[in-house]
Amino acid sequence: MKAEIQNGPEWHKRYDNIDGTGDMLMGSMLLGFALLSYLQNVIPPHSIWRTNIIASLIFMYAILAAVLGPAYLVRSIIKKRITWPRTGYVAVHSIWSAMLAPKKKAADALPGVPSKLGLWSFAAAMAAVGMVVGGGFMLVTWFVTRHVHGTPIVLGIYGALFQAYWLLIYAFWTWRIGGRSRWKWVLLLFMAAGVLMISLAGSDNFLDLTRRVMPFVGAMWVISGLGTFLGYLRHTQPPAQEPA
Amino acid sequence: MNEKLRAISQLDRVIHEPGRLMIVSLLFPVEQCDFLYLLNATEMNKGNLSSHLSKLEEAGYVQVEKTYRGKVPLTLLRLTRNGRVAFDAYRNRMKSAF
Repeated sequence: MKAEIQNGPEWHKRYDNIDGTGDMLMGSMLLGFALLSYLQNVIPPHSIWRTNIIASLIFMYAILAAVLGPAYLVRSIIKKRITWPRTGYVAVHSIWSAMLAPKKKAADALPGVPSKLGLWSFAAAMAAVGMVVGGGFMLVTWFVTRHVHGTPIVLGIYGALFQAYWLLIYAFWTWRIGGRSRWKWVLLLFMAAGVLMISLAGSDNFLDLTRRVMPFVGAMWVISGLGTFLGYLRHTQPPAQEPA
Repeated sequence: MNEKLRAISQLDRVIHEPGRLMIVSLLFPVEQCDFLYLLNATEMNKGNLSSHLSKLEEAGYVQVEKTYRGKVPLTLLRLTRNGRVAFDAYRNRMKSAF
């Protein structure tokens, strides 16, 4: 409550995932990236999809659209047919309308409504965090590749520690908007065990390891969404039908 | 210190009532929502919620739009500009007081 008074209420973020569609979408996104990574790895090195930048971008967007498109469609159907009639409709402020809105004076900015400056600041902050995290991962990869030598088990443990960021992202998501269900923390433990097992199965290449861990984490995230969805169906009542 | 505490006496009483505070807090971060969402989120009964919404509408803080989704009646609610400014001022007074 204190955080909500200080930073602004955030109920709508948790409500958005009340039916698990947020979890499902995140999982689908990871599965999409995993599929992309797999396909990029298996297509021949001299293929136009690898050598030509434009073609590789088209390839990337086509794969992601093929996975994320149906995921968005399913989310939209669940929202319209199940969630809104059961527990109500909420529309958040459109980011695009704020981005495309004409420049306003500071006095015209409405409290609680995203402003263009706020969105650009957020985007810049996210880019800075992404660069720091990406740089950190590159540094860790370089360090482990150059300086860490040992048995496959030691390398596996290093790999698991490296892959722990997936668990941190899931934990953060669950804490902030995942619904704070207890079983999700059990799922996190299962996810951690799975990541450890995959890492111990052996790979001294961290990128290759990420390629194998990502579909597992994505699938777990989708399962987390399905669990939330089933719980939502069980604990909410369909709207009463008007007598004919 | 006393000045900040005295700011409590200037709190907007329309918003300060717990039921209405809940409603305004729910409406503040979103563009709009429907009656059913507020009903579920506040766990008030329909009569209570309608009464609070009427008071907020009279104060010019909430805009009520009656429409249909297909053949089903739909009541959409959103905070007006005045409502947003009033809630923001209320929040700032509470923050400075505590």
